[in-house]
Amino acid sequence: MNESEMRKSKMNGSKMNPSEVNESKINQSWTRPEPKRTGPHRNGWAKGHPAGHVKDVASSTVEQAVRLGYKVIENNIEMGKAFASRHSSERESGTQDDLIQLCGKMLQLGRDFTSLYFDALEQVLQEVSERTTRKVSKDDDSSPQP
Amino acid sequence: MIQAPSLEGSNRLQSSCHISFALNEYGARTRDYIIHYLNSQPKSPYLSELIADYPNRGGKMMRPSICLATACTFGADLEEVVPFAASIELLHNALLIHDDIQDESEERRGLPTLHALHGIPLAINAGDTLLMLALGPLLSQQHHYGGVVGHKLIELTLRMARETAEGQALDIGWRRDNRLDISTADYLDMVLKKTAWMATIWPAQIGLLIGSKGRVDPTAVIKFGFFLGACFQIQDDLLNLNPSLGYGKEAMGDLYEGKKTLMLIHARENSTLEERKEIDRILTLNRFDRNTEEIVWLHNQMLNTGSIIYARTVAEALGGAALHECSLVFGHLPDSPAKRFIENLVTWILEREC
Repeated sequence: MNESEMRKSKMNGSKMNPSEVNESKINQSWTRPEPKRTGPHRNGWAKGHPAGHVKDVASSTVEQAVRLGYKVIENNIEMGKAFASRHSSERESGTQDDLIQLCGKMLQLGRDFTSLYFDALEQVLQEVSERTTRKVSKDDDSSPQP
Repeated sequence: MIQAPSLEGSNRLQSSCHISFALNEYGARTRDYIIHYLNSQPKSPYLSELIADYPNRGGKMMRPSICLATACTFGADLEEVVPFAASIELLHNALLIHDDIQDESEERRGLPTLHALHGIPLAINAGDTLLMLALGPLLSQQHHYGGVVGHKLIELTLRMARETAEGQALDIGWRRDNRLDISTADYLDMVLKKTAWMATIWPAQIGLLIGSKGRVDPTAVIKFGFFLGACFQIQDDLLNLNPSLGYGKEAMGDLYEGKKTLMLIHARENSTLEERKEIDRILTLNRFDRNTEEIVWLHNQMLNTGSIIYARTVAEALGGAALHECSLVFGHLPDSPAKRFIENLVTWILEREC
């Protein structure tokens, strides 16, 4: 039964049995509407999407803040480098002087320790020599006269 | 070495506990040294009591903690770094005394400011004294590290002092001249100089120099220190607008002072012409001529223009940059409680309520 026949039968008050209803539905010409899209949205966060718009604003703020932060600090570092290079060229000779001074101090310490060592050794030898001399003269005094 | 609770994964509660524990430990060691050092100074009327006031009021101790943690991460023994941490905290307190006078602040760490208690002349004198005394522990230790490291310590301190003074000059000058043309870049430049150098860069540099015994170039931590300090300052400015219990400064004091914060700059840039005129009118008033209604209006304007959310986003962005720089400087070092403290600092800064 087609649609017009169904309508007529309804108007006539005649009741259709369920099998007739199903058959009528199947026989209706029905075409699937064309889909609005042919694939999934993979760019759901793009502009225009409500959630994407909020995230977009936040991410651009983040990006701008970080980019600006790096610009500010790198500018400061460059200024610091420029100052340091001016300052270090004045100090370069100073650093070399420090090294020379340090070496000089070490040499002097070495000389002092060496001289101290020889002085101590000389003192010990003198002490030994004096003790030996005293012992010899004591032995001579105590030994019997021929 | 500090025995901090071990961290499992990225549990935020544990991370927060770890930071608090470490801050308490580092802070206690630093405070003990400071008290002992100040008590060893000759007693003077109208001076000794004043110079001990701010150090005895407590504080977060973030600055000395950064120095201690950085040094320990690079292998230093905690005890050898404490004098340097004490220098940093003493210098910070000295600058706070002067800051409070310059800002005409009434409250510091929950109590009246030093100049409110004793008058401006005596407070300035106490600040000057504390500035000079702050160098004592630093200078007394440098002979342990040789001439090169010792000289570097002084160089870093001089650089920090100059940058901090320049930043403070910018901040005060903008307010005096009621400069309305301040951009976000200008603000970040001012924060770098006024806050970051003293609060985060210099402590990290000292810690790095001592911990590595001069083997690592202190410039390595400048970017990390800057982003951390900027994040800290923006969050500090946000807290001032919406303080919680335990916040030790005057609520909305920055608005009363007309301080050029990121929120104020953004609100002005994003207001209508009429609203901007009203903002400018309020900012031209003297501090004590600004009434509560005008301050509340300014605050609401910041809310309406999304400036508070904007500032929070920027703080988080710079915190992220700090974490990135942190990984470059500290990433290769072995895991330790000190290293974890530094890595968790950004989270602590963004989540703190006072």
